[in-house]
Amino acid sequence: MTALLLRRSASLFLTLLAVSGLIFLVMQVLPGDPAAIMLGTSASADTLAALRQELGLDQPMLVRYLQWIGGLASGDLGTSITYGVPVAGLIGERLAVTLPLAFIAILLSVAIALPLGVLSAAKRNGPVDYIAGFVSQLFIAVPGFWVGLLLALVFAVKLGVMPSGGFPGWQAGFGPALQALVLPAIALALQQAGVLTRVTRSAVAEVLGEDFVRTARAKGLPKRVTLWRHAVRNALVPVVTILGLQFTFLIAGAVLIENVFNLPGLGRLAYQALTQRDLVVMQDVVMFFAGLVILVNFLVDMSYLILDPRLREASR
Amino acid sequence: MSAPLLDIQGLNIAMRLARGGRLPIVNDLSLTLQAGDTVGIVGESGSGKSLLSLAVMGLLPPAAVVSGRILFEGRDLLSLDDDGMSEIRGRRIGMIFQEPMTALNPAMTVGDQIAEGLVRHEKLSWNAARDRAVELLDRVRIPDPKARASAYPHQMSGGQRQRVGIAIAVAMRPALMIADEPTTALDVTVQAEVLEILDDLCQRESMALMLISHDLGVIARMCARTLVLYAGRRMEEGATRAVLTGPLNPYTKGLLRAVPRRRADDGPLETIPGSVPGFARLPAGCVFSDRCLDVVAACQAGEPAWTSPLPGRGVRCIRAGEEVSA
Ligand SMILES: Nc1ncnc2c1ncn2[C@@H]1O[C@H](COP(=O)(O)OP(=O)(O)OP(=O)(O)O)[C@@H](O)[C@H]1O
Ligand SMILES: [Mg+2]
Repeated sequence: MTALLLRRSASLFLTLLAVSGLIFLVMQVLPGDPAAIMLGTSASADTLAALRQELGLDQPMLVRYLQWIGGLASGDLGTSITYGVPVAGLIGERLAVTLPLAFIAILLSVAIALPLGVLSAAKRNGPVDYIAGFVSQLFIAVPGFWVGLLLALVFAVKLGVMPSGGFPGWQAGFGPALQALVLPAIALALQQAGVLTRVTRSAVAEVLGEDFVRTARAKGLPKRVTLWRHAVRNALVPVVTILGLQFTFLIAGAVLIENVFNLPGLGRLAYQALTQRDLVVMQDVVMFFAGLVILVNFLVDMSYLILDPRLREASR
Repeated sequence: MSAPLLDIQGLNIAMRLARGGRLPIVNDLSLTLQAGDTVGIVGESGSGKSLLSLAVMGLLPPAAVVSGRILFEGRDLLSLDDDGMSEIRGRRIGMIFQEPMTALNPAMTVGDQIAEGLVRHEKLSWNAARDRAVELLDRVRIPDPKARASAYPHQMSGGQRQRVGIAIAVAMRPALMIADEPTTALDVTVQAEVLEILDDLCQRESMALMLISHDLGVIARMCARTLVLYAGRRMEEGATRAVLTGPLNPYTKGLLRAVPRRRADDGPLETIPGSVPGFARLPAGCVFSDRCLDVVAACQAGEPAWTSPLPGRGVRCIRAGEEVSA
């Protein structure tokens, strides 16, 4: 088990390294010279050259790459070209919005999908199953940002019970900050909940047909206990797998939703950096997102060992 | 005679078909067990043995339509709802399944799988139930039961898993044990040991046993009485010795001829010609008439009645009388 953990951690590290190289290369081929963008069109060749030197843009590619990942390793992410502040602080600040947003969205989608999927599987072809099927198809079909706009229109503009956008900051108190995240989190969660409901339903339905469920019933366990303790427990591997995969889409969705709701999160930071050609910020934020996705998938891999005892020996 | 433990009367089981309609499978089946009785149920694959046992457990698939009466300890099981059945399952009727590889939950320790029923029925705490599970593992002769209780099924051999299956089924000392081909999936060497454990426990707890098997040897060893099924019908019933040494139904004779002998000079193994026809294509009259070696024209005229040509014997064959007088 420890050996496995070490091996997986090593592969996690190598993946991160490979991804960093890829991100760096892509940034190099993006059109636009950051120095030229910062100075505008009227700058002279001399000032341009001076700024390029100051930004380190005149150095060979390999040197710049090593400097970048060396900085990443020591927590120095460089300085934003547009904001003129350390990127590390910038990301930390924005994370205080995006992380809770993502967390609430995941929580919400699991809270909707798990009971709905399990009940549909337990009462296949019953009314609950049909309604859940219809609802989840609807959730899947409607894009998150559109749901976001609709929610803002109804709850903020028409009813005025929710803020339509912006973020007061956590210093404004837990309540108001949380309130600002609720609608965007719903917008992010619904599509995921739809997919997760379908996956949960089919996974649980499959397990319900297994022999060991019949054994559990033959012991005299009531249906409800058999369902949760035996069937759902054994259906979790596919559910957690999809949850892990969805994390990538959650990040992509956050970029859109943060812009719809004008939330100062990482996604919005990425979008701003892109439009302003702030290569330093962009490179760091993309790397951060990639690292997060890789980390989540690592955790999903590890969770299999808890969920399925058979894998503990198989993977030794 | 006291009231029987299990009294099945006129049981019919049909399957609802996806394209509509019903396919009758088990037909007019009756069977009585007194407390402590051991009955073997034998028949080719598809003859309805598993459906019969699942009907007693109240665990038939949703597509099954069942009618008749299954009286157990005086209560009609078919009229109970699922909660009522849950009270009886495991506690009064235990069941052992055929496939030890798939019949246990892969994500739960075997100790907990045994303890679970005790927690449910005897209202034990999990800790007390786990201690009992260790005792039960010992009783089904699992070595080092304390350590093995925390093993997962995949860490055990097929024979050991089937013993766990037995431990689960006997945990609450049910009055009736149903074993559906408990050794079919096991190696021959392991089979004998598992059967011995089962036999031993049944006798010690004076449990009645309903043992389902293809294997007449297994039935001869374990059961005082035998019921022969074909295409969902009773073909013959009686004391095991009597049925095996003096079969009245040509189908039983066919089954006996198909039993492999130990001696090598017995010549090629005989089989019953043909195979069980689909339930949708059963012949008119006696359902076995199209494969029967002793068939006469009258066999196709109508389904033979269940008769009792000898005391303690039952048979469904119009020519059984000739057999008795011969
Ligand atoms: N869920 C089901 N849906 C439709 N038909 C079924 C179902 N289960 C069983 N049957 C049919 O009922 C008949 C009897 O099945 P059953 O499993 O009781 O046979 P069996 O005697 O136990 O056979 P085996 O020795 O192979 O276990 C079979 O012909 C089968 O096709
Ligand atoms: Mg069967």
